[in-house]
Amino acid sequence: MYWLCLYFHAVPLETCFPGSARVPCAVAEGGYVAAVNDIAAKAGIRAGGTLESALAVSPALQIRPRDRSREVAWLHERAARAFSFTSMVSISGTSLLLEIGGSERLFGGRRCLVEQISQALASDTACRHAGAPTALGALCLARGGFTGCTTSDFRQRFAALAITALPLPRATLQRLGDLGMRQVGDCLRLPREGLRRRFPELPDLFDRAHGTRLDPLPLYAPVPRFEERIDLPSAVWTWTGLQPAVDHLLCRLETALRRCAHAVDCLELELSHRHAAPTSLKLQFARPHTGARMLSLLCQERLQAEQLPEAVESVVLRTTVLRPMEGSNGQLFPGGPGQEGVEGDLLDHLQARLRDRIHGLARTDDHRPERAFRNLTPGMKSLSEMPISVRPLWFLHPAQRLSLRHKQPSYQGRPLYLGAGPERIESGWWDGGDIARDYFIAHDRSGARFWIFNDLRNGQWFLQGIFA
Amino acid sequence: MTGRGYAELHCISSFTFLRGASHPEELVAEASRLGYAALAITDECSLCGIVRAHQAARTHALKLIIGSEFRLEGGLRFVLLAQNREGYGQLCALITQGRRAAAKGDYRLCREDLKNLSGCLALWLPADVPDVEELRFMKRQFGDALWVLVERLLNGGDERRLSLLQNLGHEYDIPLVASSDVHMHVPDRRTLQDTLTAIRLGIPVGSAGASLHSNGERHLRPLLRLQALYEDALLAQTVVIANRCRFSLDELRYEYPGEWLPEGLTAREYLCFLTEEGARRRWSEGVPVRVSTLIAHELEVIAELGYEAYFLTVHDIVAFARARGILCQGRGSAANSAVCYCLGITEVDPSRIDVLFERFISRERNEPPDIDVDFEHERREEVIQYLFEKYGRDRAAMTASVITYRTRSAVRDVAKALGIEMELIVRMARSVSWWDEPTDLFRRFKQAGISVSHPVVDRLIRLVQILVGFPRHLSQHAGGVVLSATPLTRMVPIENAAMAGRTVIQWDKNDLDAVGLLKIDCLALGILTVIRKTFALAGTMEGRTLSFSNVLPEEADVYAMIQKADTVGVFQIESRAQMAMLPRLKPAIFYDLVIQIAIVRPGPIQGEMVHPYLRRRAGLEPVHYPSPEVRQVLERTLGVPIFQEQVIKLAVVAAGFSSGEADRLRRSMAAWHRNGMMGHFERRLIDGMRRRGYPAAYAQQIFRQIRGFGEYGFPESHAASFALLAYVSAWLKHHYPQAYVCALLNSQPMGFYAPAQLIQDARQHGVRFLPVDVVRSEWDSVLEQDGRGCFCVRLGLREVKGLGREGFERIRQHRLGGAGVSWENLPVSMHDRRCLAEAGAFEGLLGHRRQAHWCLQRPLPPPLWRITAPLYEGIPLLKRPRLPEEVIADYRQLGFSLRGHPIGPWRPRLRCAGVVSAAGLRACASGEHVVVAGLVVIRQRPATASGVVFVTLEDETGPVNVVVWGGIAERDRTALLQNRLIVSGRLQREARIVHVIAKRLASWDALFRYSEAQASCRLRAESP
Repeated sequence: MYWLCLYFHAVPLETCFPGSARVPCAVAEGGYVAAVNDIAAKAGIRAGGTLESALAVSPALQIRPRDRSREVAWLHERAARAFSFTSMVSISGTSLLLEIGGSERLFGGRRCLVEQISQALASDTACRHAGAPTALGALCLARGGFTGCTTSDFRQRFAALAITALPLPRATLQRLGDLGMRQVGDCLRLPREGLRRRFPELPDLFDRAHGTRLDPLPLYAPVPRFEERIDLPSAVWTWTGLQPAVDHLLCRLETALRRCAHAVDCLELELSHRHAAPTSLKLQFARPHTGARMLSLLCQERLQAEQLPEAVESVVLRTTVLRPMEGSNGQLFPGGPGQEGVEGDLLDHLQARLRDRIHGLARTDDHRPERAFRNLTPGMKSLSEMPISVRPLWFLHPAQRLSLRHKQPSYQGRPLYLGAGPERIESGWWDGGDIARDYFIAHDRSGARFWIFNDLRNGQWFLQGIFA
Repeated sequence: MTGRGYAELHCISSFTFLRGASHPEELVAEASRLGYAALAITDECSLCGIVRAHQAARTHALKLIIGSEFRLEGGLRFVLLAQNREGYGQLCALITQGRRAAAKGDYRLCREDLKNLSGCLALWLPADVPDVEELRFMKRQFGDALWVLVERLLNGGDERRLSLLQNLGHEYDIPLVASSDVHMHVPDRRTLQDTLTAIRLGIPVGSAGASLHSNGERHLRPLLRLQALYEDALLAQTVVIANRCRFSLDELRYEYPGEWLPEGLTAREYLCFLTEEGARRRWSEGVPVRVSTLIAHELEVIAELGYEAYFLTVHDIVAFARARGILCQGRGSAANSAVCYCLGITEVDPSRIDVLFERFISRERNEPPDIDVDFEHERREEVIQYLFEKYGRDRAAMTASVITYRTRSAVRDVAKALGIEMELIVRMARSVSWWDEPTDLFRRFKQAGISVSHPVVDRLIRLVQILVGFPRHLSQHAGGVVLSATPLTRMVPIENAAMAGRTVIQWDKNDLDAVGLLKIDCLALGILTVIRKTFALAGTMEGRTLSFSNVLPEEADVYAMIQKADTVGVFQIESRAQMAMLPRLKPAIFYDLVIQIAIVRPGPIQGEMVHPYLRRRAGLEPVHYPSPEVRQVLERTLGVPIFQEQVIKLAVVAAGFSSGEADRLRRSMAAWHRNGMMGHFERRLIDGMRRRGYPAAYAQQIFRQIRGFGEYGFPESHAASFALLAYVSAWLKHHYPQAYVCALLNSQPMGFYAPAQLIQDARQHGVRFLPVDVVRSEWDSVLEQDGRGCFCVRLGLREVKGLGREGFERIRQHRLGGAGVSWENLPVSMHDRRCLAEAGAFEGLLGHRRQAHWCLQRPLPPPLWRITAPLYEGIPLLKRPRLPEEVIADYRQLGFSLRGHPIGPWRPRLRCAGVVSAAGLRACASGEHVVVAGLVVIRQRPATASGVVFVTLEDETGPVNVVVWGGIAERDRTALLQNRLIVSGRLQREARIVHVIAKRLASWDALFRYSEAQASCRLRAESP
């Protein structure tokens, strides 16, 4: 076993400020400075200080909040790439740990391999890499600022590290500092039993670093995804022709999903043609599915609504996002309560057939009528409970200007008579959408009822809606 | 107009915190402008704003109705209006009940609490869907004194609601009345009102949605609009109700408490008796004639105005404190009267000082006198709890202090409400200093690189400008206690303060003055604690009891010490500005100290009075007086007005002001930059002086000096009280340096200096200190005799940062175990152990810090094991830290070090770089270029000094005063903010006081660069 550690010490900074900035930059987390670039460091800003004091030192400081999820994604992407060099990859903090002892002969020696790895994984970013017989050892060396590979000199180099290189909580490091410990070697010289009594984790940590104790690591495993392709024996035009191939793929997907206990809420079906560009069909579902039968039905709905430019020669089924499956209890009696699934299926069918022309509708908390509702992804529920006055079902947005006849607003040449009102709405100054209007319910001679308003700024009349 | 008049009966002001968007004054002014017949201020369960409204209503001759809005548990809402004095008392009692039943800032009332409200009128506020059951309850409760409030706010469905309420009113025979649910005086305040809602809910205004009002109709609407909205009958009812409410705050009559009065004596007789008794005690060989006429005159004025009870109440409090051994001293010129001296309220001998008694008590002004009493800061709570106990919660309460928005807090809250992201908020708030006016925002934001043209920033600035000055919440005043003979809760509501065991009234200091309530300021003063502790410590040294009477007046040695500015730790004259003045003013008698204290204030400094006074005192400038009257006023301060009393007397004798007028001048002096009233007085003063034949230039100069006082000027009586304490503390420091520094350390935090400076100063005076020690130290520092019988200060464990009182108590318990106890098993938390070890408190027991840490870091064995089997383990060989490391650790854990100074180890290197030590500066000539370096101990930026930063550096030989001009502070700000600093500049020496005027500031790393550059220079010079 021989481990290589790639320590990406600048990941928090690089994910927040891609590219090199010429101004002082800092990454903030919970009101504190988490990382700074060189320019900020030169101005005297240190990681760990408060934002207040950082701004006091450098008022021009650019600050962005730390993005942990992007850091994780960034590391995962590197970890996936590292699989081309070894099958044992582990993520620890902002470091990658690679077991390279097993594959160094394949790549023409350790030196060659390390070079290739750093070329492939770290050429575009700040990184320190260190090799050691143990994973923890390599990690400490890289954290301690050492670059290169150690073998027989590992113990010596490890002992020479500053104690801050050890992956320990700040409080523990401070307590070691109280004892006058500066280097790892200082700690190693302390009586072991006494040390264990005060720092139970330390002897164990040293043993794992030295390899005298096993160090099981959580290994990185790639996210499950599905992509398979079938070439059709002959080009087909219709669903009937395609169905066996699609069903086959869906069955394989179902098996794969069941194996890893996941479900899909979107699918991509890519149909290749001889000449034309491939047709890509995306399906979005209101609830996650696993069953091939249901998926097949939905694919059919979707495909029948599509005009194919050419005959299809091959089919690719792809899933990008998988969701962990949430189990549900079956019904003891069919047709009992719990019809949600049925509702969701109806939506899925409608969506497959009408594609993006279907919306949900939700009330939003806003007094301005044109912002009092919004479109939703079908199947989602609205949260607002705002009480509502009388509003028309047919809402005109934007409102339609009304002409005046004898100082009276009129619609399509017919004068409108003001009924109930006014309802005055003045709101929205905070986002530039300030309105000041008097709303009335008006009717024409035939008794049709309209919702109209008078803009208090310019006195003009508008039609906002028509009552059913 | 009366027939069709209108009175607004439901209106909240800015004192319904974070709901009302206009000040009471604005509401009253607008209602008066619109021709309303009356206005009711009905803040929610509060009467905080009514005194301000009352004063404004008097100015605008508008009828003010006092009321309050309530929401009961269960949702019932209504407004109560006070019909008469009785109803007002009932309202106060109800509010008190609701407020006392809930935490600070909140209230809780339920239907059962609505009792005894016969003097109030009730207006029911129906919910969106009116609840008939509520109406029935209200009808049972209030009978004929009930109306239904109809509020047409154009919310949609107004007509339907109106007809519904009309039916209800008809059915239950309850009249309807119109109202507007007023939240603001003009519709433009809608943006602020929305913002306040968002601040209250703690969400951005964009997400506040339905919680915002849908329009800005909740303002004072013009009569014509109201007539269009409401039927005449509804409007007419408002006037009917207004006419039934006849109460005005002017009816409040205040009665002094009198339980201290002995049977069979009147207050007057008792005061005379006590005064005579006191005079005999003070002047045992006979009262001087001047004093006895003074006493007679004062007693006459007091009797005429009926203030005996006030003096007797203060006397009672002071007597209580004396009995408990709590040091106290009165302040204010009523306090420095001969009567107060006889009563023991003050120690300033009236024969030593000329005080204007009329300033505080005058026949013209029917206003209560003002005596502030300072108590030891650690024991003032005892006095306050005594008052609460003696007079009861319903007759004693603390004065409130209304906390208002300042620019910085307004920026923070408005920015949050506008949904500005956190980073930008921090940046914005940072760019604003506490002294900035809202009008500076534009400039400040620009400097901080914030785009001011962005609409959001523009909105922010506009909102902040209105919000500044809005009340935010009620807090308790520093020490104002209100006492009354009748229950206070019938005069003003009382609510809970944040501090347990404290209750505050809903009015602040200014409100009390306006209504004429008695207030006694019981303030906390740290120096009194120090003096008492010094008396006790010095007493044990000498084996006798010491008190004020042992302090010998006018000792030349003490003044010699003061003249040398050797006053670290001395009350008032220890600040940097005071110290710089001492060698120039050279106080030699008590009155010089009084002047010294009054002159180093922003007022006299801005009024340009300091230099003329010093020049005249040094005999460099002749003193001449334009008239004998002026001479009489200003003679004792060499023709320069230094005290407030002089300014007032000057206005009287030179400009012909009446005493009442002069008093108004004093009041507007305190607030001149707020209300701009001074313009009127300027004309009046200058004209008056011209008419009496004074030259215009002299009149102008006097006015400038008066204005300079602002709110910072000191009254003479005040300065005299402080000067007395300054003298006593200087006397103690001179005679008992060990005891004095020990008492100072035990009274921290207080004063101008941190323990490090106090200790350094005391060591320079030959005081020996012994380090903190877990076996020997107490919580406080104590005096300990060494082998030769000399007293040394054993530092107390209170100096150990992070160690709590509880931890110390455990140590004390552990110590009781005797010599055999195992200190490694000291039963305190790991955190406390670490603090103790790091502070070096185990040095005598376990060896140096690292060894102590090793021993103490071992976790405690379970309790049973502690007795049975002590665990023996080897101690590893840990090296003793080097001296600089020990010093730094001392500073980190104690804030000072007895081993040395952090700068000490750098001295050879600093010497190489040409840096002069603080001691070395004494040998340098004025004007010489010097480089100094040290720890930054004080960094001040007075608002009055236009960007100048005063820095005090400290090295191992003492302090260095540095002046950094604004431009240099801005240029080298990075260095200026470090805790160690190197300054190169010019030395300025004036009467023994040395300043370095900085030309360049450098951070500590520059030392390396600097010495390298120097070394290379030297090499080049040496090579041929």
